[in-house]
Amino acid sequence: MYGWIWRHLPGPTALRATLAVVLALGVVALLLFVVFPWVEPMLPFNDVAVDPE
Amino acid sequence: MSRYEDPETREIPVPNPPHRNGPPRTQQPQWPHPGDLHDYETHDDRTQPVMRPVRRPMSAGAAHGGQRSPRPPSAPQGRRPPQAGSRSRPPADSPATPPKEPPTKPPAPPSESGGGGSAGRTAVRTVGEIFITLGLVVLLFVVYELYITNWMSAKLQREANADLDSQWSNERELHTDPIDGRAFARIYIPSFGADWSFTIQQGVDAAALEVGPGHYKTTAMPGEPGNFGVAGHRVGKGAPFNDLDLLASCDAVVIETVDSFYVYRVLPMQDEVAGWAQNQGSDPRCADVAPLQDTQSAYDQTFGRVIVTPDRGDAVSPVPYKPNEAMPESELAPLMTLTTCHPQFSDKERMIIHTVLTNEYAKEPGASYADLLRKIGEA
Repeated sequence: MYGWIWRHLPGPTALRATLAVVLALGVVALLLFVVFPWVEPMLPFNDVAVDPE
Repeated sequence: MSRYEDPETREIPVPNPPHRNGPPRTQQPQWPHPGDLHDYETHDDRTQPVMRPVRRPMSAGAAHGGQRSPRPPSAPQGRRPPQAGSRSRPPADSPATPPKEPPTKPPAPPSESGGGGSAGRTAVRTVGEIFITLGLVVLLFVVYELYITNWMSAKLQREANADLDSQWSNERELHTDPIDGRAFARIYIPSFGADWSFTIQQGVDAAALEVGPGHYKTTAMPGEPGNFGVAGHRVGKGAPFNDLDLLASCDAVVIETVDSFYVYRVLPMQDEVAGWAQNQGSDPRCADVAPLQDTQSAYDQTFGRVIVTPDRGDAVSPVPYKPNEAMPESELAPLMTLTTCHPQFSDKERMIIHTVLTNEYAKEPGASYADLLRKIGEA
């Protein structure tokens, strides 16, 4: 998987490394700001309120 | 797995002698060691340049071929005798196989890196990479929960704080009912430090609690008889109630509204109720804190700290844990109840802190929380 990505990145090694870092940061940002906030409410480990009937 | 596949894939298409030695491929990393033999080879290459064209495809197949040549110019012949004596492997191959054995290994790397080796190996590697990636994603989620949400909530809390200040300075909004999700009060806990303060939002939905502690909408307002219920996160999202378990009986919790400061104090713990007057009861800070059950038996389950299951919504009812108690409002004690998750990092239970109103100070112009702390002796 990572080997495949690396082989498909264009340019010399320096450019490839830069692109790889940018890709990794993009994925992290996507996870932190889109995926995790969406997933979090479905995970029941941070409920703090008692349920009012 | 690959060990079994290698012979298959190799024997069928190319029944060459070099390829039949497939299994050693898996030992590829060790090649440099047996490669001492190879040193011998390259040495041969150099001494007999004529042989190169013949050996090229085999010895140059590996990228290492070129790198190794500088090493052995003088060494090979000096080294060789000790090798034969000290190492167990080379002696076995050396006499007959050396010319053939090393060349069979070099071809392996190109076929692996270029063509991806066998399909099975590629699949296994990909699955492994996916698992490692998922592990990293889970770790990142932990970081997100414990740190990133704090940064996000800190920003929201700053905004809510500024909004509350402007709201309070605006006369027209003085006596309106709180708006859902919007701050309407501040909470201070002097024992957590003079700078510990959060705004209290209206409602206990996720959006309100992301900003800071939230008020159970159906419960009383600060200072009123009954139960002013407040929920807050214990982990992440600013974690306002992270240290709620450290509160001891008689610790102050201050609520600031547009016109007043309300000083609540944590009620006696269950094991302190008996003999309260002889022990903590004599502490001046506990002057107005007495076990509620001494005067009203309906409060027989209301203690400073209680752990309950999440379905006990009656923890914030006017008389805690007695939702159907019909007590006239004039007899209700003015309580405040804080709720958070328990144990930490879990939502199996809820920690409930019950406090009782002991003092109320109208806000004078220019009066600050620091002035109040001096007044109540917590500075």
